[in-house]
Amino acid sequence: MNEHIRIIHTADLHIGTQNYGKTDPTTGLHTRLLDFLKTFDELIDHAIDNEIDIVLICGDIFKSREPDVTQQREFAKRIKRLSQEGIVVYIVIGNHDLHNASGKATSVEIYDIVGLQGIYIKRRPGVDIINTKRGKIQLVALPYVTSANLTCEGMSIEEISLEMRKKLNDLTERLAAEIDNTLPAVLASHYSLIGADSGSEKGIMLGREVTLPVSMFERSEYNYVAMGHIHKHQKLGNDPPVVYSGSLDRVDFSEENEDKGFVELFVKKGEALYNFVKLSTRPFKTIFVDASSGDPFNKSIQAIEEIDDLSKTIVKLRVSLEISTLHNLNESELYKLLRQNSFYVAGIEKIFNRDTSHLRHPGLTERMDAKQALSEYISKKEDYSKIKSDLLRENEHILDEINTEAKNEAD
Amino acid sequence: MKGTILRGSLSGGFDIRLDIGEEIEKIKVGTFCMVEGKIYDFLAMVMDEDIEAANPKAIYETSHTSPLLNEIVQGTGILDKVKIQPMLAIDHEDGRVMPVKSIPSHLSKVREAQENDVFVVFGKPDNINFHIGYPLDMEHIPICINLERFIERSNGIFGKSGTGKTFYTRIMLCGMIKSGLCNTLVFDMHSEYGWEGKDEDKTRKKAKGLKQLFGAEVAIFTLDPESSRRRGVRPDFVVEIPYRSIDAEDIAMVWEELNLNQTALEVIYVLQKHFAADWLFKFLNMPASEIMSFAEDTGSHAGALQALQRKLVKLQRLPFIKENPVDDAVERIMQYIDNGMNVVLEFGHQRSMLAYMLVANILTRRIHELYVMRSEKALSNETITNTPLVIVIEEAHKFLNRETGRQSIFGMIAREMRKNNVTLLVVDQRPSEIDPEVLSQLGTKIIALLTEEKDIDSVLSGANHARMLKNVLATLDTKQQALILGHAVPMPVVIRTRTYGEDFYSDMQNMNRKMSGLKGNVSRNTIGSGQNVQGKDFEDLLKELYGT
Repeated sequence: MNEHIRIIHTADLHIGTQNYGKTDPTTGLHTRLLDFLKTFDELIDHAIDNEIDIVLICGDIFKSREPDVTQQREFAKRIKRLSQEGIVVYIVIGNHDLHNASGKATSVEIYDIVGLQGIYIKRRPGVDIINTKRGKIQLVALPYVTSANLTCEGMSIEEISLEMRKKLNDLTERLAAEIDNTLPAVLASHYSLIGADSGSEKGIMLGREVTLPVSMFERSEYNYVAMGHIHKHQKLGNDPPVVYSGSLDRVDFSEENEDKGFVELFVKKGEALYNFVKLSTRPFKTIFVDASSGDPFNKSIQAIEEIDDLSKTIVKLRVSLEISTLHNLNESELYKLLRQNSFYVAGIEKIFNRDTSHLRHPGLTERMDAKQALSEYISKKEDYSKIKSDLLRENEHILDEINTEAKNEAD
Repeated sequence: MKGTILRGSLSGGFDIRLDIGEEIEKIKVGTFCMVEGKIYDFLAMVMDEDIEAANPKAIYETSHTSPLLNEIVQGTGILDKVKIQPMLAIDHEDGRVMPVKSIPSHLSKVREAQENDVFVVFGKPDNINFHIGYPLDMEHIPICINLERFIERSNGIFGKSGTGKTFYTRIMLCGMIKSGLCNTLVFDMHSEYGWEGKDEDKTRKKAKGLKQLFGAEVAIFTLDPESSRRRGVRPDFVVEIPYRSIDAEDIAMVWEELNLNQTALEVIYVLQKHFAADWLFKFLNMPASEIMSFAEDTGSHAGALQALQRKLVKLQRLPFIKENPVDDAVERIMQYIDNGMNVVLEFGHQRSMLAYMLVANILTRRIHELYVMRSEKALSNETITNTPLVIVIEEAHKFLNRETGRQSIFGMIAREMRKNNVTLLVVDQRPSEIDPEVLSQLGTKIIALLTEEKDIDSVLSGANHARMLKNVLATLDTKQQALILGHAVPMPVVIRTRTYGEDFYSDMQNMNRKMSGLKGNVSRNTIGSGQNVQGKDFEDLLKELYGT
């Protein structure tokens, strides 16, 4: 068959993320859970409408490694729907799915036990040959490894992650050796690659987890490398493309300007075409108000009202102001206004400008020499502006005199 | 070798009278011996040999036609004399190693140095004491170089071409990477460090590159992705240099390659002042009419500007210089280094001196800036660690010559030593052309055979016993022999370097740290290149990483 096999590449669903939301009064569910499920539904609709063969989920299904039963049920419904449509679901385990205790099940392992048709849960690396109606394809899984398995006494976190990198490198070499070159191959994995722009989770992860070089994945055995773990959609390698699909929903405000969606991939032997499909994800918006001069309250109201439609948006107000004008900022009124206009209010952030008003000459610093300091001083005194050059010249004379005197004394 | 002290002085070394029956032909210049004194043992090196007669007449009265007479006078009337230079004294009581401040008395015994003597001085091989070679003719005794001290200063590897500089550099890089004490950044002009390179010995297989030995600890960046891929390398990143990052200083560095004169350099500074960071791109695309008006506005010479434009077109022909590169190479290099990786930048077909110097200079300048900032931060905040970085440059005399060396970033790094945690490892065949001030700042020098008088003088300038070492240097083999002196070794030493082959590879890949994973007894040898290993090992690896 010479048709492209159609794959959806997604990752980091993080179902169960519950920040910036409230309980929905009609269902009793958290609004963020509903948001996340809605976007996932959009993806599933797209898959069914476009006769997708495989949905590839590169890790992190749930937020918690022990998701509650409601989250489980909702995800199960959707898996069932895909399965009924004859779409293969290939899930590679990510860090959020894994338990630290090696004996405990991952949050999605249940599907393996039940043995649903066409559902793959990959907790261990391996190559699967998948038979789609458009032909055969190899899917190669390289799931996340917890450092717990390698930890031993006396090793620093850095040493462990270096050690893990070495071993994973060996593993990728061997996985690549198992690839059948007559079939197309896609690698699915869940790691941080060095050089990836990590967006929001950066602060939490830095230095604590293993990071891998792109060259470990960018190898000619594969037609496409599907990555998860980093929430920002991006491409790192070219040949083959090494792509993060990005997450489906925003987790916090650092992602407010990122497009969210999934990657649609068309693969056949020797060819991989892909494009990013944007989803209508719940928007986040930070409203900046620069009130370093003027009334912060009025300026804030003005800024909020300037924006057309916030009714679906999670908003945050960030006001930069002088500490002296803080009493004018009527926060409860602002909250009221924001609540009326937006979907959810994340908060009001106040940034205080450094107050230099008590200094007589804020421009003067100890780093200046006598000449610089004088000219700075003169520039602030309008009376002196006319005789500035004379003053500076005189200053130079005086400095010279002082210098020669000092020298004479030293001699 | 057995003998006794005949005479000597602290400054001039000792003469050894060989015991009767010892064969002088077996003793080679550069070997180690121990002088057993009453309070100290002295570790010394053989510097010279000669024949002396108690009575000069004896030399002429003997003849090869009377073997009996010869045997009688041999060792009594006519002496085989070995000249040695004491290098270090070892206290009998506490085993302390110290500089020589006294001499052993007459008739003190002299013997060949043993393994333990060498260990006391150079240390036993471990992660910090890196086994680099053997003393001459004592190939059972490993000699180590102290890597902690090595990376504290900038270092040099010198030697005529064809003496194995690349191999010494490879061996040192391996040691540094394995120790994990520092990160390395290699400007690999001939693309011979990262991936397998040519071995001069045709009977051996290709020499393995760092990436093949250390796998995930080494990343290969390239300026010429085509060439890299043709050689089977999977580069991590393709480096592109934006026009904006080319500074007047960078151009000044390559004035020779671009054939620029002093006026041209001055014009460049004017241009940069005028157009700021965009100067080069704007200037290269400036039509003739604009050049005229620019010349008028700034008071520069129109002819000089036009000539400069013609000369700078050479830069446009470098394919890696782009107007808007996708990613910032410096940032990417730093990300890899911060993640504990070592970066080899391959030049592929871009191996002209112009490309090499320009790229090395631009990248190093910015990386150095970053390290300066970091070390300042580290001063104020103790939790920030700043892992030292060692930058390897080849053809170093081009960067560090008398004209440009002083102002260039490389000259600066060499001079400031470890202050900002960046040091250089310079590789060069013409040390005499390197600025003497820079040369004198190099901590440790690994010197292979040099024949040019000027070169020998310049590498040895400032060294103790320079005159004697000169003798040693001139008698080195062309292969696998080097003199090491400076900060990282307690005394100058001639070694036969280790062979860069299978034994060395397995030593490098063998982890000396005992890991205890879930399963304690799985094989610890990493496979690195990952060839022909399947079955059981694969299962073990899976168990180790993913549990049972």
